[in-house]
This record gives sequence, structure tokens and C-alpha cells, in this order.
Amino acid sequence: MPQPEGLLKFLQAGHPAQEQWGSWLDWGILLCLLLCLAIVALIVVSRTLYRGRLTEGGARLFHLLALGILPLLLVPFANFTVMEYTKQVNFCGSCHLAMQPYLDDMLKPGGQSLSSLHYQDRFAPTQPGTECYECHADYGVHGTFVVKLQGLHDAYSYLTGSYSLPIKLRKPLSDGLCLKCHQQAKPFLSQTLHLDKNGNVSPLILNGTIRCEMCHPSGHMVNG
Amino acid sequence: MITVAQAAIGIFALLGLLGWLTLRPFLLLTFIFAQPLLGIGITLFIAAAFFFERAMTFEIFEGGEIVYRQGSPARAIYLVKSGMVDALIRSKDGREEVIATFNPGQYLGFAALPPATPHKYTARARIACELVRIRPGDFISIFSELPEVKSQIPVLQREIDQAIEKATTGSLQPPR
Repeated sequence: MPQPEGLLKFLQAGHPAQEQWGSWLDWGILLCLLLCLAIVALIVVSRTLYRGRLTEGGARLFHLLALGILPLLLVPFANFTVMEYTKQVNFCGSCHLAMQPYLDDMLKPGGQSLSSLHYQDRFAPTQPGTECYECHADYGVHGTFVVKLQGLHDAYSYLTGSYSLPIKLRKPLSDGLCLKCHQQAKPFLSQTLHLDKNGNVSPLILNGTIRCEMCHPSGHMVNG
Repeated sequence: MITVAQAAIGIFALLGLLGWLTLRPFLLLTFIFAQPLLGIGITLFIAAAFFFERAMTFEIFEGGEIVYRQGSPARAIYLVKSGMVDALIRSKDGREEVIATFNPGQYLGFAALPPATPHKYTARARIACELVRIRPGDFISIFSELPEVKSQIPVLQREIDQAIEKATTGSLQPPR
């Protein structure tokens, strides 16, 4: 049986198994598809019936819908949906040759790397399937913006072949990315090494003197 | 202008279709970064709509194509630049009968002149033809001042009214 591709693959295999169809992303994709289809169909029908004339009757409605209302509707939905889809593990794994080992490591059952442990712990409960993004993006709009810019650079490198294997982080992952979740977590606070004598998070961790990766080095366990 | 607007927005929508159906990153990113096409298309459409409402425009019709239908709101007057346009009205049995034919240099669509009424007949291109679409206000302010046009209007109107009158008393259904 042939394997599904593209959208079908995403809905069948790439879609988080625990999630039923109907997330914001699903609806966004469906809506974008319908809007694009409607615009193309209206333009084709309009070209066939009216050949670009802006005359009486239906032509006005066709033009208003295809060239005005629907495109304006498409803009916010398309941006939102692409933004959400680019957070998906599937999207990160799209650069197969470069990213696949990291994806395999994360998804490996019983894997011991930090990424795999986080994945097994369902680290991204509110947005399943966005585990790469959750660890690699900082808080808020600024974090999202920065990580998308880096993603664009990565996509450019991948498309132009201007990268070498194995791929490496441009700079070490900021401890802030770990602390954004762990700082208030009980397991983190139960380790006295993380705390100062007053029971607060050690300033040595906060100011970067002690890096997370010094004790927890294996974000991904990838050979090479 | 409308054609360029349609091309710009059509390409953008096609990129979206391809991108979302295949979920290929390159296509999706191209789709998002092609948004200026959308801006160009919408701007051109608005400009075209504004332009069309205020000026005379050439429109090309293939043979058999309807210029306007009987009973539809009349919004413009047409000058036949080339080709021939038939005026038809529909009989009770649904058959359409030619009541007049417009040749190059003649005008049709006078129902658009104030007080505008629905078209009394259907105008259909007999052969491929070029028409100049003129807004009623522009027609009144410019063309009706020209003697040859002024003399043409009552002749055409009278001919058509006579044909419709004949149809009313004969086998044809009177226009709405």
C-alpha cells in the first residue's frame, strides 16, 4: 500500500497520535486550503465567463470575492497557520538529511537523551508535537521571532546545501531555555546543588557561571 | 489591470494550495514570502474598480456572448466599435427573437440613462466584437452634446420601442 504524503501523512502519521483531529492547526490548514481553492476557482470561472471584464452583474461579485474579500481573509489565517505549523516536530524534521538523526533520537522509545526524556514526559502538553520548538525557543513573541529567523537561516542553508554534517548549534543553548520551565519545578528545587543557602536558585546558575550542560550534557545522543 | 491582479492573487493562492497539500517547507515559506503579490493584486483590483467606474473601457465579447440580459439593472451604455450585437427578447415559450441589430458606431443600453430602468432586451454579440463601455453620467456630459449621437438616440430608441410594442401585441412576451 502506498505511503501517504504531505497533508495526508501529517493527518495520519505525523499528527500526534493522542490528539483527535480538530486542533487549531488542523482547522487553520483546512481553512487556508479552502480559501486558496475558492480564490483559484473564482478566478478561473471569472476568466472563463468574463475574461477579466469588470462589467455588470456577476463579474463584480466574482472580482470582489476573488480579489478582495477572500485574499484579505486568507492573510491572517495563512500567517497564523504557517507560524503554528513551523512549530511542529514534523516541520523541523522536513530537512531530512540534516535533522532526521536528531528527530530519531528524540522519538526513540526508551531513549536516554534529554530530548527523548522530555518527549517521553510529554513536555509540550498544551501543544503536542512541538517539542523541538518548546526547548529551542525562548519565551514570548521575541523568542518566537528569533527562533523563526534562525529557522529561516537553517532552511536557506539546507536548500542551498551550504551546511556540513553533523550539524551543530551556532552557540550553546541558553540556560534560560531550561530554566523557563525547570526553575519553578519541584524536582529542580529538590536538588540542593541548584540552590543557595537561602533555598533560592543559585546565583551561580542564574549568572551562567554554572551551565546546565555541565551536568546534563546529552541534549541529543547522535553519533558523529 | 484586472488580469494582472488575477495573476498575482492566483499565483499566491496556487502556492498556498501546493504548500498545504504537500506540506513542503520550501513551498510553505515561498507562500508566506509571496504575500507582497497579494498586496499588489488587491491594490490593482481596487485601482481597476475605481478606474472602471470613472472611465470608458474597451470590452471584447466573443460571438454568442451576452453583453447584458433583459431585466438586469442597466449601469452602462455601450458603443459598438467593431462587430455586431443583437437585441433579443424572450417569447412565452422561451424562444428568443432578434428585434434589432447594432452595428459599429451605434450605441446600446440606453436604459441606463436617468431614470435608469432594467434592460428591456438582451444584448448578445452576434460575432466577435469590441464594445466601449461608458458610464451614463459620462455619456450625458460628453457624448450627448455631439449632434450625431443626439440624433442617433431617438432613432434607435424608437426602433426598439416599436419592436417591443410589436412583440407585446404579437407572439412575443412583453419585456418586464
